[in-house]
Amino acid sequence: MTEPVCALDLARLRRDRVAKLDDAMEAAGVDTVVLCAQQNVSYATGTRVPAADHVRASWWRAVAVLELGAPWPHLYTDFPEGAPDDLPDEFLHRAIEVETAAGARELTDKIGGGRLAIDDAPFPLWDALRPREVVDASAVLAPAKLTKTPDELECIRQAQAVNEQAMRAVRPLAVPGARATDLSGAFLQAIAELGATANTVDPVFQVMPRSVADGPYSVTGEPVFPIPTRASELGAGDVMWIDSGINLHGYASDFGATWIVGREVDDVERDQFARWRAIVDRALHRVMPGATAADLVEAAGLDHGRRPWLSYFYLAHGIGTDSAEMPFVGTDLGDAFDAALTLQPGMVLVFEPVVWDDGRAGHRSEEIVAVSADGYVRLSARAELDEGAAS
Amino acid sequence: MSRLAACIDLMARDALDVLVLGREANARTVTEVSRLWLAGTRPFSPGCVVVRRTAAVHVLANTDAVVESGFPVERLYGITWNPEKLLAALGAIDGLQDARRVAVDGMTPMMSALLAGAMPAAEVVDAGPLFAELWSVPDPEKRAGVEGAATVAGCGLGAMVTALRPDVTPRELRGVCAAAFASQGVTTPAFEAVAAPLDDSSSTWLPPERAFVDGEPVGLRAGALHDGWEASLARTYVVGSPSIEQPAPAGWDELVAACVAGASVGDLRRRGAVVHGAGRGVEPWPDSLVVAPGLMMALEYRNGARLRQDILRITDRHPVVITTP
Repeated sequence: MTEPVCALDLARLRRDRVAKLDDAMEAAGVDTVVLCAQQNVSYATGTRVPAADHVRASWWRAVAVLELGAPWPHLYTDFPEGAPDDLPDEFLHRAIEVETAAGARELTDKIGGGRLAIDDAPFPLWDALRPREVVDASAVLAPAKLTKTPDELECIRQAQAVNEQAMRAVRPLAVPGARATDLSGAFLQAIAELGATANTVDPVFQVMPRSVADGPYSVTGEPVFPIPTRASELGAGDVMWIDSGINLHGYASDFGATWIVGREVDDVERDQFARWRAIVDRALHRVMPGATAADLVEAAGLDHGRRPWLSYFYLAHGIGTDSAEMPFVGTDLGDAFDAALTLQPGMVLVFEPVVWDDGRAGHRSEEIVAVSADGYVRLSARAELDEGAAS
Repeated sequence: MSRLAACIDLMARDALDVLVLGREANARTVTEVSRLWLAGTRPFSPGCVVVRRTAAVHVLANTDAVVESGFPVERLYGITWNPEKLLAALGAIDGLQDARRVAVDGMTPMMSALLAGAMPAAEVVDAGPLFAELWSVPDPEKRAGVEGAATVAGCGLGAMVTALRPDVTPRELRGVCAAAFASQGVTTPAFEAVAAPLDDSSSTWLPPERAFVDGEPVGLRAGALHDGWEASLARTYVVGSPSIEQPAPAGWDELVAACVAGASVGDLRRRGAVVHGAGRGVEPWPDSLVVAPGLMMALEYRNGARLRQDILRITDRHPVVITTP
């Protein structure tokens, strides 16, 4: 188990986020921020909307408008009961349908002058804003979100604990003859019972090929992951890569593991896990304030002559109200990007290296830590689900 | 006519050289694509590109396992975190460099700059009207797809009804529905299932954290995405052992009877109904739309402590209700 970071105080968490956003607006010289992306609205206001498919979520999207120096953001929503109690009535408004030209005009009429930032716009809203100079809201959101407060870390830790506890219930069901989608159903039922606010991603239970050449076609020549879970039967000896994410109080979690179906882990798989563990441990040894992302990439080193992660993802990524957000480590943004990223207390790192032996598949798992004043604290406690960890 | 051919025809009529699509439902409208389901909105990015001159669809994916069989792999472009690499990938698509008019389904300041780099001469316009038009045309493939999703949604709602007893919580019922969907091989909801009290103070979408009590009216909602098609339904029950389905809200039958070819969406909304198209997801309909035979419509109505939602297939006469628990 992981240790609580603090006694979770959601009202304090929301106040701290508003203060960080206001500081970031001032630093970026932004007077007004319009937020249309659901995770960003949730970050700024603490509001909740029903979890839904992309287009439905866009159709009923809530919108937040932040003004520099204001005590709270204005929230426009179809779901006022999802707004936190501490949001004053004068900041809570009925929804504006920004997917339509009329709604877009209604919103733009409410926005003051000065420098404006937006995260994402339905086209009618973009069209209505085109006469103005509009900057990307990442100028405000990225610095605010880059480090987490203790309450935010505690949310991520609790979300991860729910995710892991559900996976412990699912693991015994991964047997020959079971369908991969049956595991998804058991997982989704478990997280609901355990108190998850919502599910955030179709859980991935992907049987990996032994060799990349066995397919499916890969644009990069590397293993392909993730592919949406299909209702196919598991077979004895299948090597399955797992990836799941749930939402608790607006915060994401990220579980990754490799399971062997219907038999004991063999020597090759035990070695693959040991190599995966060593890569993470080498990187963790360097995790402390002042180190750079490049230091972590260097520490992770090579595995059998190749960088031990999927080139289209990363060695590590951050997590918060988005399931993958800054800081990114080892992406195709390149070495200069990594060298410029310095670790600070409160940053979260989800390590997800991949060990691959073409012909014998490989190991992929995930481990989450938060940078502390003198090193790191663990936010995931997944050791008992590490195949190959025993013996 | 194939869905892509219909799209290309509209592009020609509207002098659109390129579509750049970020919305999964729009991508599904022009080609079979099944990328990972994620809850919630996603910032606009070029997930799918349609070029009129070559009649080609290009898809952001690292593998052809998420597109239809036979999809040319040279029309896949890979996932990247690097805007310069994304720009290069778009630049390599035949027909973008010299595009004069491009339609998009969203925008961010960063993507606006990037697209201006990829298509320096292009005027950027809204893809919304093109998709609204594609969706307003009856489509046999859509009928079959939505009917398939309706079966799954009904199965989920049925399982929730069986589990609806005194002392059960809304969250537990949400899980029951997800497990029932998965038993049908479906792990992607249109929305996470809802069980909510139907008192005046509460929403029918975000239930409180408490168990249901004997005799309480409860609205159940389930919605499934199956093979990229959506269907949903809602019913009202009074909690008991077993729970008892309640009659539809007063006025429901008259509303359904009004959903015939020639009816205007605005008129139905003025009677208090929530109306949208059902297909590749929610298909928002304007008030001005006049429904035609073959269209698949989501109709919802609440009156007091009774809630009902169904998917209707519009005909020349009485509509066919295709959703049932």
